[in-house]
Amino acid sequence: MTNFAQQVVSGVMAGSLYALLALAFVLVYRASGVINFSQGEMAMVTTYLAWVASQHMPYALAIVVMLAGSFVLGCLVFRVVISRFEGRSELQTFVAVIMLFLIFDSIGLALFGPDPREFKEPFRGHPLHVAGITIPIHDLYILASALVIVVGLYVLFQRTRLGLALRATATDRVAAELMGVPTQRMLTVGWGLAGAAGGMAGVLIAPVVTLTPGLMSAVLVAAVCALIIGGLESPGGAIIGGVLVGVIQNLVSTYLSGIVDFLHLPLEVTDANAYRDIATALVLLVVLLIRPAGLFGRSAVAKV
Amino acid sequence: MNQGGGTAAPILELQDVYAGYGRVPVLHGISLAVQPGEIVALLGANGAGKSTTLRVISRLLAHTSGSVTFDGADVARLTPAALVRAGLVHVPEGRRIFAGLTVEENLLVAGYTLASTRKARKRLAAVTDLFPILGARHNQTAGLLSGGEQQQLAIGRAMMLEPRVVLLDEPSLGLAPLVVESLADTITALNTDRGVAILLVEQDLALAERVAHRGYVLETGTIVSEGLADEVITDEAISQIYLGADRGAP
Repeated sequence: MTNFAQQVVSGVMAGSLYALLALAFVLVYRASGVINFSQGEMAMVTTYLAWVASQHMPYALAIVVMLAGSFVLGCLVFRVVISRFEGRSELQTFVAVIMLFLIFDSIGLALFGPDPREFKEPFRGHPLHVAGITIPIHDLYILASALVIVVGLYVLFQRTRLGLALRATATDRVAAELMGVPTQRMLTVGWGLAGAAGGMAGVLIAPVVTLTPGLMSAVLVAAVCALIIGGLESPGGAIIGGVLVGVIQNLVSTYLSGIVDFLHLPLEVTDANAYRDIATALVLLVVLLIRPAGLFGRSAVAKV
Repeated sequence: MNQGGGTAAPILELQDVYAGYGRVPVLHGISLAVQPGEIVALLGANGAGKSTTLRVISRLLAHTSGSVTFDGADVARLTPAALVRAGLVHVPEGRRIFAGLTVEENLLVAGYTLASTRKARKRLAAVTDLFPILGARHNQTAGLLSGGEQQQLAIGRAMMLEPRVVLLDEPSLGLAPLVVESLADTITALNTDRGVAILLVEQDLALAERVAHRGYVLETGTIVSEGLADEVITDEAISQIYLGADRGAP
């Protein structure tokens, strides 16, 4: 039972990472109706930026540089590429997004090579022990950072004039424009905020998996799964979806051999992670089949 | 009113405007003018180009030739949002309130264009004076309002911007007759009490005749008649608008 609780808690920690990236997806989707599959690769590039910066300055400052850099990158991607596809078919925009994925993926590889870089954990120390559950310091840091970003975005959207203008633009762009809101600028800001949230996910996962150009691939799959589970337009859904995926993944890899034995499957469990990704994909397929609008979404997943 | 060559310059003027969607032309050389403080009705059958005319004026649609001037300035250089800040506000067809936002948030969206929150709050108070129901329901989700209340919200939202000209597209659409009555009073009050000039697109000819000073009749993208409201809105015009142009007078 302690092991079960331990795995759930660890799953919540991993899930808060997925939630951050899924939140970035929701921000972009609500602003411009695009699912930005290159969000993870953008985060990978800005994580390298943070890594380079951290060689020259304190960690906290490097994070500020990364947040600014990924905000600007998000704005640029929208202004230079995505906004030009306005009014085009969804397939054309989808292809553009996939090309962006390839471009950012190659930029990471071209600039930094395939060798893993060590991105040190900013806070080190003895793990916490609570009621028989062990929580590494870095996991606490992940959770705290995710919370700060989520609360910060909530306050921005619900309590500021900019946030109200962003929500109005997301609801009805034409009506917002007719009310004097510079909607093109609002969409740009939405992409920028998404870039920053995704970038934070990159910096948080880097110490766990080491920094390579493939940094975000596993997180991306999990975040897309969280996004679909949560419904494309619901920030709360993305967060709950992310945490759910994290917990499911952890439980599957922990109890996999038990499940295989129980079902008398002719499988040899060598790599639990592979099964974990299969489990994620299966959950995603089942949700798509049973509840295509997601658990918290209003609109069907017609845009994928 | 300045009729036929008065001295005042029109606050809104279209000269020989052509526009369309893609390669489908909709407007074929429209010319019309709205004087300061005037209510002008733009009438015509479905598809005549009434909404397109409003969309051209508010820059949602670029015209292909001709000129649109607001307060003496060419609007072609402005974004829709910049035009709003200059004092021309378009209340679109179907009202398009922000359904998921509260009533107050709907009104405060306009506050984004204002320099200070205090200014926005002051205007909010002025608008809720004008439409008390919006004050009473300020915390309610706008999508839950009745049609008449949503129309008040749409007009109240425009008034947050203290416009000099309002484009009203089919404000009576989907409203009960009794509600249309009070809508007419509202439109008249905006005009007489606040001095707002209004270009009104309306299918409800009784409403148009009641509130408008002058009118234009649009037929497949061309203006076919213009004049004082009670001259334009005649039995002949009504049959033209509702039965089609080719039938002529009954």
